[in-house]
Amino acid sequence: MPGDKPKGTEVHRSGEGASSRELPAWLTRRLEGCPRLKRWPHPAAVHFPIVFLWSTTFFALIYLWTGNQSFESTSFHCLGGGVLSLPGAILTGLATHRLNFPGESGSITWERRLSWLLLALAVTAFAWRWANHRVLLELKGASFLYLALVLTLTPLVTVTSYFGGLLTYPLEAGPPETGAP
Amino acid sequence: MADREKKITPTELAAADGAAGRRAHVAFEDRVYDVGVSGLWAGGQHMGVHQAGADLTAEMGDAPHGPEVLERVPQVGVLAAVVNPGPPSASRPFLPGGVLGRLLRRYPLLRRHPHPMLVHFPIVFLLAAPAFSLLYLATGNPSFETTAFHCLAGGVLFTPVAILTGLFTWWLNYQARPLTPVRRKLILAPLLLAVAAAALIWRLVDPEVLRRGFPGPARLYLGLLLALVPLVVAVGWYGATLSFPLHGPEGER
Repeated sequence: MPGDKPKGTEVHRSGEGASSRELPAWLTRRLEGCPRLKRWPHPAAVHFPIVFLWSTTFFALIYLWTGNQSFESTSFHCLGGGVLSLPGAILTGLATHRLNFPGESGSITWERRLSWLLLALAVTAFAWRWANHRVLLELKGASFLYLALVLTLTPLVTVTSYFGGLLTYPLEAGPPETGAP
Repeated sequence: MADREKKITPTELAAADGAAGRRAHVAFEDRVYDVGVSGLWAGGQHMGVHQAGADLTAEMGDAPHGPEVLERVPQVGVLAAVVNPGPPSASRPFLPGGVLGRLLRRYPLLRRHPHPMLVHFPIVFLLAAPAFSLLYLATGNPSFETTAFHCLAGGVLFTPVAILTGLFTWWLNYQARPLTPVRRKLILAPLLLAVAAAALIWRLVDPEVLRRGFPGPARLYLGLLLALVPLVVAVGWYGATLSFPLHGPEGER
């Protein structure tokens, strides 16, 4: 933990296979000057699409439950926030993969595939709602497809962030055997 | 099958650095593990920070996970200088007794994940509230102001839950040690909640507070909303230093 244990000695080792070796010299210097640029941008960026896309579903359901149209507007605004912030999260994720995980793992592969699918669905729903602002207000016919798109966002975000979370907080292999530290 | 008690010298350990197809071994509390089987150690590096071929005992405390993750890779020996390494249970994480202990054994996910999962919500909601308020002031579209109000309510609802899970994580994973980032969060997070709650109550009592025009109380209300931004950033920053600690000069604080 910071502050109460000895620190490691190196800042960024460039071992064999580390992709940072292939980076332009100016970028390598920049990363060595500010190491948090190597690891922090993606975890910071992912907050936004996760919450905005969850909220899109949540506020749409609140609207359907209450009939209060302001919740439908909030759902649309959150969808806009998700569509705007998701590309930044994907790009920082690709950079994090290149800089910190030279290899490929199942979690990374799934996270990447699901992110692109999530972006496609979110953009489709946003464009639809932008073109027809009454799509959810008059729930009939094709509107159910829009609602399905909006409802799909939450499980998709959850699964995508689950795979991302496994990289930072790996699940423990099994139950610890002892109680006290 | 590897001999778990095979003596491995520091020189042999250093040679197993995972580079150029070599084996990737790390030592932790005198035991040597083969991390080459893990995709997270490709090329002998982990997270661009930790290097195979070294004793990582001192660095483990900086990781967002505990030493239990080493149970997922095979032990291939012990450091040669060590005759009788201590029992592995010494490195096991703290686990309370009773119902909570049984729950954590059954669902290890509950140990570290609840707080990082929940903090997304107050962070984004409390940044979105001032952002949508500014969007309203820029465009005059009142629906943005309503969205700001909904986000503010979301932030006020989720902040106490995030604080409680943070306290739980602190107790369970750090044994409530007085870490500098945690001590600062213990001051800033309640302050954040107080400011957000004050703004929410004001907006509930006076829904037109921002719509009546700028002179007067609207400035103070907007000031409260804007104050959320540095508070959220500071709380999130100190949280990030726990999950993603830095090494070297920038990391030494």
